[in-house]
Amino acid sequence: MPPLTRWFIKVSLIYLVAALLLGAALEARTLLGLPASVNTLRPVYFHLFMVGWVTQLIFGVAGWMFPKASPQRPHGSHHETRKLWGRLSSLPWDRLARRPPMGKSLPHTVYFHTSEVASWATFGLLNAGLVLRVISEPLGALRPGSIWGWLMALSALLQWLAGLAFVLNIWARVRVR
Amino acid sequence: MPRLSCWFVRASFIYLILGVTLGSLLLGHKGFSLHPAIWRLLPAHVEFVFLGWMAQLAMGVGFWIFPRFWRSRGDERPAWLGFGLLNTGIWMVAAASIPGAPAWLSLLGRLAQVGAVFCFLVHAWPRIKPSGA
Repeated sequence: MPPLTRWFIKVSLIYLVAALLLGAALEARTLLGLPASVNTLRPVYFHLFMVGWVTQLIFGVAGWMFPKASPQRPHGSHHETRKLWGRLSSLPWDRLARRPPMGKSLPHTVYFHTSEVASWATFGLLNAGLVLRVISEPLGALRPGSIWGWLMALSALLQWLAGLAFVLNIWARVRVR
Repeated sequence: MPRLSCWFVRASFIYLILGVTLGSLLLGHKGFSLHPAIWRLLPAHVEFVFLGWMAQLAMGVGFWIFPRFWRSRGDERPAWLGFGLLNTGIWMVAAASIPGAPAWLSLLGRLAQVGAVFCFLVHAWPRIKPSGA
């Protein structure tokens, strides 16, 4: 199992425990007479479960189990990423965006080792975004219009980038054999 | 990876991007009150993430890795039909949250989703067996 997959899986298990603890706290609110503001944690509970646990586990296992990019670089390769960029650059961008056509190849630095970097970036972005959400969403609900609103927007951006990085990175490994 | 699994998995990736995009808009709206109509995206966000991303990925990977009958995966046609029905159902349910959409659209979408899972089940049931059996 590659190191990054181990990170994804172990962190996903921590989120599962956190989600279940939070679920228990939400259930115990009425029994223990906890304040109603505890309910602001309900969206956090759902997202700890579905993003922190399920999605993160999928990202980790997919990086490990999906068809290998090449024997030399099993979890991503310069070549595969170059092929993906090649496909992207062959799209009719000039017609779509009214820009000059892109070159047939991109500068070497653009795609060099993108796969490994993008995999770690996915992990970092997803977890930074989720932790930021766990902190900012309940506090933003209690104090609307404060700095927490900005942090919620930043959390949204980080998680969106994580999804995009994962898909762009693994797309070339989903192929017919 | 078999062709149908590629379709399932790539479609699930597209739904992941769509679902995360809608989710980001919803979270951004919580922070900044962008527009009240943004809350109407919630059913589509849930639909894209639960069924489009997670269920579809599970079906695609299941079709790929479940035990085979020697070299064959059996009759693939029900699974292909399931793929079509699932995606039709997802878009019907998502479109039902648009103002002015007919009330029956959501029900029809749900029925398409049930049909999708049933078709997949018809294909996959005999493959859930001990390896080599």
